[in-house]
Amino acid sequence: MTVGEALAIAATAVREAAPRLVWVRGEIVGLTRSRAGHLYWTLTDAGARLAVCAIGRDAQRIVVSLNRAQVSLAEGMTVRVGGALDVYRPRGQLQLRASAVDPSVTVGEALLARRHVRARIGDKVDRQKTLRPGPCPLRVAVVAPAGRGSEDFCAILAASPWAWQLQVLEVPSEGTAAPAAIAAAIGRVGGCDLVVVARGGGDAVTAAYDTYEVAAAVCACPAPVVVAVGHHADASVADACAWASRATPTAAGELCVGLLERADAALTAAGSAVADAARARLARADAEVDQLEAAVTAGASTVAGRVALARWRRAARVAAAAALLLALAVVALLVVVASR
Amino acid sequence: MSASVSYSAAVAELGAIRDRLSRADPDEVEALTRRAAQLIADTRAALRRAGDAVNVLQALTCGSAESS
Repeated sequence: MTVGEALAIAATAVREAAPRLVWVRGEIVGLTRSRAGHLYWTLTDAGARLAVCAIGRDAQRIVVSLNRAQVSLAEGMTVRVGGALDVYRPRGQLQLRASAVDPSVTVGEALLARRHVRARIGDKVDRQKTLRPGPCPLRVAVVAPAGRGSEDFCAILAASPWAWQLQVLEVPSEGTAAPAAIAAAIGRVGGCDLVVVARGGGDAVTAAYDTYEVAAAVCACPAPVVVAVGHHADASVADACAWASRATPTAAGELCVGLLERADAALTAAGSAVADAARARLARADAEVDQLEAAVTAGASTVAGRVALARWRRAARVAAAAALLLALAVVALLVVVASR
Repeated sequence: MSASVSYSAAVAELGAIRDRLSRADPDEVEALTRRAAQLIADTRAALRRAGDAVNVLQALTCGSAESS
C-alpha cells in the first residue's frame, strides 16, 4: 500500500464517519490569507488543534457574512466554523474545509471582550471629553493604515483652502501587531492640535480598536482624538474614549474642515462688529455736528459758538474721510477673500 | 506660536478695537479700522495655504503597516 492509498482509506473513513457538515468551535491561531483570497487558520481548544481552510467562494462567503455582522476574523477570536472534515493528502493532515462561520458566536465574543475593556478603562473613558481643540486646529496627526483610511481623510483636507500641517503615521489595522502599533503611534504624535485615528474601506470593525492598548492610548493622548474606523452600528471602545467619533475618515476630514470654517466665520463676524462700531461712532459724530450747526445758525453768534462750530466741522470732515477709508477697507477685504 | 494662539490674540484685539470705537474721537476711527482690517487680513493669510498641496510635515510607518 502506498502512502496515498493509506491516506485515501483515512479520507474515506473520515467522510463516512462524519456528517457532511460539522460545526467546530475553537480559537483562531495562525490566520493567513493567500493572494488568491483563500483563508487558512488553525482552530484550537484545550490541547487539540485542527487545520481549517476556506477556499475560493467559500472564503468570500465567510468574509461577506462576517462583514454583515460587523466583525472580521482575527487572531485569538473564538469562532464556530461549519464545514466538511477531510484529509489533506499532501500533508497527511486532517482538516476542516470551511464553508461558513457562525457570526453569532463571534459577535458574542467581541461584545464580551469590549465590555471587559470598557470596565478596565473605567473613568478614563471621559477624559478626552474634557479637552477642547484650539480654534484653528491646523496641526493634525493621522494614525491610519496605508490606503483609503488616510487618503480619504487627506483628500477632504486637500479640497479645503486651509493651511494644514499633517503628520501621517501608517499603522497596521489588522493582525496581532496592530494594537501595539496603533497605541505606539498615538503616543508618539507631538505638537499637534488634533489626532485622527482612521481606517477606511467600509470594512467591519476589527478587534484592534476594541483593545485596552488602543483605548488607553486614546484616553492618555494630550490632544483631542477623533476616531473614524469604519461604518458600524456598535462603536468600538476607542470610539467611546475619543473626543469625537465619526463613521468614516471622510466624515473626520469634514469635522476638521468645519472647525476651520467656524474660526473663519468668527473672524468675519469680529470684523463686521468693528465696522458696525465704526459706522455707529461716525453717525453719532455727524449727528452732533448737525445739532451744533443748527444751534449756531439759529442765533448763537458768540465767538465761542463760532469756534465750536469750526471745530466740529473739522471733525465732520475727518469723519467723512474715515467713513470713506472704512468703506475702502471693507472693499479691500472682500477683494482679498474673493481672490482666494 | 500655533495658529490657534495668534488667532485668539487677533480676535481679542478686534474685540478691544470694537469697544474702543464706541468712545473714540472721530479722527481715531480711521486708524482703528485700518488696524482691524490689517489684523483680519493677516490672520486669514495665516490660516490659508499658499499652494495647492497640503503640507505633510512627517510621514512615518509604525509597525508592519498593511492596507485595509
